[in-house]
Amino acid sequence: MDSIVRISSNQATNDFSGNKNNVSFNLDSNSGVYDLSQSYVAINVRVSGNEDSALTTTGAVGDGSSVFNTMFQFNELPSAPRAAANAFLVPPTTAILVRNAQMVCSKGPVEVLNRVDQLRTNEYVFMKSKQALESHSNGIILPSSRRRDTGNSLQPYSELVSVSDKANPVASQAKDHEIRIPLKEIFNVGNQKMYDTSIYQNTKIALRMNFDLLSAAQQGGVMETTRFLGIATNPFNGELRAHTNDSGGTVALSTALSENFYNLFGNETIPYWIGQKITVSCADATHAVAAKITTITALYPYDGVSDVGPYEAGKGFAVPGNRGRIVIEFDGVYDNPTTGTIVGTNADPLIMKETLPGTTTLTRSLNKIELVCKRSASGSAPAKLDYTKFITEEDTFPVSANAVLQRYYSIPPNCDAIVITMVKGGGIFTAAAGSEAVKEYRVTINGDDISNRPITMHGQLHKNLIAQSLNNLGHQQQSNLNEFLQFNFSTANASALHKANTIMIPVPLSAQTQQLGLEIVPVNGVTFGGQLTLFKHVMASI
Amino acid sequence: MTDIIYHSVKASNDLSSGVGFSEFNTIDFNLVAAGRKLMVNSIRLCGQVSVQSAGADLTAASDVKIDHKIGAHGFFESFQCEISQGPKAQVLENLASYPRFVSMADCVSRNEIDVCDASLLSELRGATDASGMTVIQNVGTLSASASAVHDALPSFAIKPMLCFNRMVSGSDNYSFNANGSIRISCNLARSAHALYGQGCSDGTATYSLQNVRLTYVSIPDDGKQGKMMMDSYAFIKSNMISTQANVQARVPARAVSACSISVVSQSNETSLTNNSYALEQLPQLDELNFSFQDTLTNYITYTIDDLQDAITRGVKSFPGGDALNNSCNPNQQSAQRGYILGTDFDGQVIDLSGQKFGLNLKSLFNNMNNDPRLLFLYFHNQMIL
Amino acid sequence: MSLLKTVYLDPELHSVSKSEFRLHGRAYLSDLKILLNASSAGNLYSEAAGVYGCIRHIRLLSNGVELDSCRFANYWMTFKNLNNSNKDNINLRRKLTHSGLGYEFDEKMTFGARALQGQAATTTAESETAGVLYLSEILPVLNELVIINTESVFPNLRIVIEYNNDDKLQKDNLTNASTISEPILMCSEVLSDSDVAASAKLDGLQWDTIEVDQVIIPAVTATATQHVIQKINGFDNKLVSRMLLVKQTLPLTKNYLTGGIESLGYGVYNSFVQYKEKINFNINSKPVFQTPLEEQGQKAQILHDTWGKCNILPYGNVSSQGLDKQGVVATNKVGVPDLQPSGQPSYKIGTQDFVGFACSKRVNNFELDYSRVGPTDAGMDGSNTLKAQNDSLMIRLYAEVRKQIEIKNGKILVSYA
Repeated sequence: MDSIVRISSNQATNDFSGNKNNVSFNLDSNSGVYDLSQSYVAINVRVSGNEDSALTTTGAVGDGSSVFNTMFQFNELPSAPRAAANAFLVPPTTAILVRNAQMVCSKGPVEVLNRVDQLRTNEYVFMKSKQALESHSNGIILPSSRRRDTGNSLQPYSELVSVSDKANPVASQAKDHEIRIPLKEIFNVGNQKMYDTSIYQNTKIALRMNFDLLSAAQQGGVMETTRFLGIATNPFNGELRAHTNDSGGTVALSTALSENFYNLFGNETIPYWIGQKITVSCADATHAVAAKITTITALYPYDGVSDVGPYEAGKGFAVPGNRGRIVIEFDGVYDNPTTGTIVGTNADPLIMKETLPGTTTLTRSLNKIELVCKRSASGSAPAKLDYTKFITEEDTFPVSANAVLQRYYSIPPNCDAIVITMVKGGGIFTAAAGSEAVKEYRVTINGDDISNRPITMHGQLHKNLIAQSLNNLGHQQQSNLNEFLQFNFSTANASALHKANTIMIPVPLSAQTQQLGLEIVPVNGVTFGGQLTLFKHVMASI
Repeated sequence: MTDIIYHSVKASNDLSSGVGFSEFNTIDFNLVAAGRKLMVNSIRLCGQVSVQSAGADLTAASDVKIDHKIGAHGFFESFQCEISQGPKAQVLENLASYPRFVSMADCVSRNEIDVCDASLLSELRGATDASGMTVIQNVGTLSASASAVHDALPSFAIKPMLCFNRMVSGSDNYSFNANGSIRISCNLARSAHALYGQGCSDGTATYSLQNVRLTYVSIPDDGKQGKMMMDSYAFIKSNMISTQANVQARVPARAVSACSISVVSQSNETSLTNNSYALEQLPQLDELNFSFQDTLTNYITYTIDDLQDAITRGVKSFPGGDALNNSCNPNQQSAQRGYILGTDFDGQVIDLSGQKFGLNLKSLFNNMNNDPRLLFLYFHNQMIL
Repeated sequence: MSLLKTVYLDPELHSVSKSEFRLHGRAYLSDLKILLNASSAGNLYSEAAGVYGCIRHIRLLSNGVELDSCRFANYWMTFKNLNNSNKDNINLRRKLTHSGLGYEFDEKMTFGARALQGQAATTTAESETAGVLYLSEILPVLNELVIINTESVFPNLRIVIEYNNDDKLQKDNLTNASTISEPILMCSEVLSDSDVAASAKLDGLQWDTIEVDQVIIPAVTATATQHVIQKINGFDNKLVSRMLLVKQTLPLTKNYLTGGIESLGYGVYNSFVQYKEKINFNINSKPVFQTPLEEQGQKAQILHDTWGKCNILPYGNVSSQGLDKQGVVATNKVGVPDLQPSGQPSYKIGTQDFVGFACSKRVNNFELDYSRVGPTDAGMDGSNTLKAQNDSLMIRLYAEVRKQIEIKNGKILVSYA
């Protein structure tokens, strides 16, 4: 049986703050045979928020009792012309955290790849379905697997508890989280199952990361409460009742949220969690509740016999029974409503709003980085490894009005596919100026046109070329939606989908150098220019 | 082209029509087809379900439901498979705590939207809690409002996760002549387990399965019997009553390839209103270790202290577990579902019948003694006939 | 195989009713694809058939001999669209078929197809809104060939497509007429002499083609029991593998909402659940099932066992979502198909009832044994026009039928096995 081992990075202090982005690992000589395909870089992180929101009555400032649904945001460029909206794109691979990568052994370089982030992001957009990203708990940002109103979703940087036993509630807690980058998503040689360090001796893996592009973030907006707002024909059905608090003096109020227009069915739809900081208010003139900040202390299914009052006719419950009803208990100190004990009638929306830490108090820490490997103490690995790698070529071209780009590039021997990205200088997602408006393109190889007509960008011929290229790259295509998933996706912003701006060209295999001719035509009237990167996929061996 | 036959078998202890089988009943089926072979993975259990509360049909307001992840599988507490007569008569497997196993299998391999498939819909599975209520309501006609009548019981056809339905690709079909006839028995789950919801709080929610029959497909016997490799499981139940649990299990299985673990609080397991089959969080998991003896060194050489690492290994431990398509994400975990621990054995099969398998768990939840957790350990076993 | 060239061919003949491609090279890979497009301002393709709703018949011919064909291909391709996993329909096929299959949850927690692409007024077969037809799905003979030798084995190879000009079969909304653009054939021409030579050695093959026969069941009055035993001759003396039964409500106009513009459910591609339906098949005087199929659960499971994954909406193959009724605001609001704007259950409930089974024998005599009861019906859409469980039915039976091609002395002989 093989072993799973963790190899520490060579950066002893594990300080990856600021712009410290270099990480390296050693696979020692004669340390065994490694299954690179099952190995990954493990980045232990924590994202936490400190409570510095001004609290008027309830809870002490910075009392540390709350747990926030913090997250990481990936900013593809450190500064302008970064497109802020792209910070909500879900990277299809965690390899986006790697800018450049090298693997070197005693026999020489195994694989050197610049702009891993750009290549793999635009490659893997076709390799991961939406559902794969939702399932990937070791990722950076998890998209909504449950379509909440604002599209927010629980991230893995905290262990949040949305429902628990009434008598023994389990507290939520901030946690360290491990982001995994499979080696095979960084290096093509990472697909190898038997890498023998008795043959290749001391092997160094050096990565230039993108830690400076990773920032602590939070999910904003009125989270979920729109489900419980009264709207025209679908009133909010919450009921706030006072009941005795054993501690005396102050009154603990809890509210049972009944089903509403959307039917709160299923624990996974509960937008709250134990330890969540919320603000509660009601603007009704008669039953006003001044905004108060408090922390949820318990969440449990309504059991029919709790302190919360049952359904009463005429009191605003629009549907029968207690289906899907949960009870939320707040932190103990709260003011009574100004008059009466009932609020939340048809016209009185009770607003519960998630209260977030200020952005300045969000902190991220990268605790340690390890290489987790599957290793066998012995084994008969092949003496020669056959694999593939990419050779990178960057090109910049002047920006000019209505320019048609026409360029020639060299295709190295034994190349079977070329991936071309058109992104803004240094970026990953954001299209190069005008390239989001590429109308069509034509490609020649050694002077022969690969098509007898222009290829319409994002058209079916274009997709066919991508499918053929992915086949040559050794991939099984899982998606041809050709779009990056937004983590806050909802039907409302479906039109804002962000397309992958990538051209892929299958190349007939040849032992000779070939010539690639590329002609890109923008949409009429659009100024086209920027940067273009070619990743040439070639056979290799060592 | 092979001449196939569709068989349908009623229970050998079939009750009079209209009564149906209910909680704690045992249903036996005998499969015999001389001169024929049972086609691999073709056994189905079909029937109709009637769920009532206080002796009356459910209404739109009834908060009575089944676990939507497993649908009609939840009515069957356990299965036994045996070759009852013939040259190779033997008990093949005893599948205890069966619905939870099915729930785990679903969570590790399916996203919520995967339910949009004929085979899963036929098992009364759904995408969310609410589906578990809708699927057990009577079915009506397509007429509009006044003329619509709801006089049909919902029907189901499940593919039970028996060894005969988990034959590995490449296995030969089962020859009745060479091996003998098959008996499949199932024990029905108690109503309190199969049903949950606030409408069950008075203890009057019940179910009955009607017109129950087992179907299978056969092909002509070619006179040869090749190897049949089947997946099964052995089950052990333990508990965690403090912040640390050390489980040493001696498992009656000779070819174990992985161990998968799920959790439920002791109070919820017997609750009338909470889902007994939920895959709940182990609260505030701190550390996890596995240990066992084999001829080589231990597999995972470090202590697992990252929650998502533990969950990912749990997903991978299950046959068919898919790290890129499952329901074990933080959204589900926070809702007390989709939480699975475990480890595979690196592709090896190990005889655990003569040695102990160890599980070491630590939690930071100080109230564990007031609200203990039950641990369900499933050891994935392979059989060769 | 190292010498391949991707070729995009225009049809040598194109009209509103027909297109014809001719392959003039020496040999091609069998993974032929056709880009197909119908332009219609703002309308969607049929949610069930997608772009394949344009195709009436399709034929593959060599030297005038028909090698394979699919008649009423739009109906068959509707099932092929369904015959995939939900995930594949969302992530892979929807952009190829432009159908409305592949269902996702949205913030309302109901199921529906998202981000469907509407047709623009003027588009071509190269556009993003065009669809892709993998010919091997519609002409199964291509699955038995890796290389099609058009030099000596199958000379003068032609692909002939006849189109549906009835917009009901193409689109979900009949607001604007559609125009079928000139399609494009995508193929990989084999240039390697050795591969071409190897492919020339083919002397025969067998495959399962798709054939169809149909029968009309008359309307049934309320409370009456209708029992029909109908002989089906289309498969006599043929080796039949798998079969599929699809029901269509007649007349076709019944499948539209009042006003006859917008599809009700999946429109003409609805296959409605019937009330107290019992189905059996007598093949060579023996019933296939010991007791007739009458439970939806069992039908769906056998369908899956026979044909594989079938991407059906929750409650797509039962006649109600629990206790909810058509025409009344739904109580069951989540985990169900998208509700109507009024809050009533979707019209797609009960529209995806198919029956599939494995026949696996030579058929000499085939009978459909069919019965149903007519419910008291007030009209599903409230206008008394569509009585989905009383109206007349067109039942189509598709079958995989074994055929063979023999190449003798340069002549192609196509026959039933």
